[in-house]
Amino acid sequence: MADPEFQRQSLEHLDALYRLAVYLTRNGSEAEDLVQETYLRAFRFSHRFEPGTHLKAWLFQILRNTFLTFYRLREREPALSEDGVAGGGATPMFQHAPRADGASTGARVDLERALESLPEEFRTILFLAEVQGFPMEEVAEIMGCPVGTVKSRLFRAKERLRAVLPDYRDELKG
Amino acid sequence: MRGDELENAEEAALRRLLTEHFPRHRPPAHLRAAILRAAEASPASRPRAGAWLPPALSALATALLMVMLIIPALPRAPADPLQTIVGAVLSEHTRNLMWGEARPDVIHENLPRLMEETGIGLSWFFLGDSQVELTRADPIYLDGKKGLALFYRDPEGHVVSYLVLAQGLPVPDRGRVQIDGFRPLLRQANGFSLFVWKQQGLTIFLVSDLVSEYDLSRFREYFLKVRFTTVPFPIQ
Repeated sequence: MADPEFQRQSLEHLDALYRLAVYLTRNGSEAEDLVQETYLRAFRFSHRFEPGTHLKAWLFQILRNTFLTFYRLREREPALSEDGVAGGGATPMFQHAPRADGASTGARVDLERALESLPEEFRTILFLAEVQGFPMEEVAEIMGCPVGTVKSRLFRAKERLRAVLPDYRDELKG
Repeated sequence: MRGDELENAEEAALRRLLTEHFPRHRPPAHLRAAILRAAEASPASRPRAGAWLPPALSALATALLMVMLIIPALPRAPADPLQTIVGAVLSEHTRNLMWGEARPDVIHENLPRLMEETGIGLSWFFLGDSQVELTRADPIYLDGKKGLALFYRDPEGHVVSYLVLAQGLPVPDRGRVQIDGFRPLLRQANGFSLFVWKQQGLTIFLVSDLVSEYDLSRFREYFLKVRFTTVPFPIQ
């Protein structure tokens, strides 16, 4: 098992990992399981981690792979309705999110609907690059695809977000 | 606002929207402790050097044992159904070649009984011509199958045996040759040539020692003679 120092350093990223886990699973308890499994794997295979490389990116990579292996099999991507927004039946992505003030609730709901309309690959790249601030190279490493693919997906994800957030566009133009 | 400025502003606004409105989930307080507890309980799994060897050897031995047990029980490719009968046909041809006495005088007299005994009728049959003479007609019994044989001899002493078996055997496509409108199978074995084909549900062999390229053209002529003029049928 991993040495205590490695465990301590890994657990510094617990918040970020949990955030991605909720984002992927859309469920608080499943997110906890996913994060716990991610850490167990990371500790078990800590000898494979190359010191000096980005620990946070490595942990994100494990988390996403674990999600794809175990959790995504159970998940059904919501079918898109004609307007490109997820149909009914899906658990809201932000249902466990902390409460926000009334003014920002509308923007959050719009954002939630817009994100749900994106494929998982697009959503995760958006989260890693724009919310977590990972550089493209590390996003590519986490996603297991070339940097060019990451850039292309990120661009398309933003395009699609702009397309399904019309009010937001008007606000910008005004 | 210019196009690129608008684009930059949109980009910045989108980023702001994501960072400000993306929910900040906090992990529950117990999660950190739960992870550490689970890590304590989880057995160390870093493999010892060479630890993989005994299970790998064990698996290999088991696989070998299974292979040894299973291989004899595996279905084998079906043997060539003609292979056995071709050997018997060649033996019959050789027997007649060495000891068959020419008895053309009794053929017509014997044929009705012959057909009755073998269950193979002949509506028509090749009587011979200036090139080849019909010498004998015999009942045969090859590899457990009844049959009827007509033997011919040409002026050079080549014996040509026409054997009809009262059982339809599958004749493979591979090795067939085109002769006029017919596609018999041609085989060469032990210094003999055979044409094999099916007619009226019966299996028919034409055998000779005509094997060279030159002789084969003559053998093809003999094949056409008997194929056109001999019509066997199974007697119900």
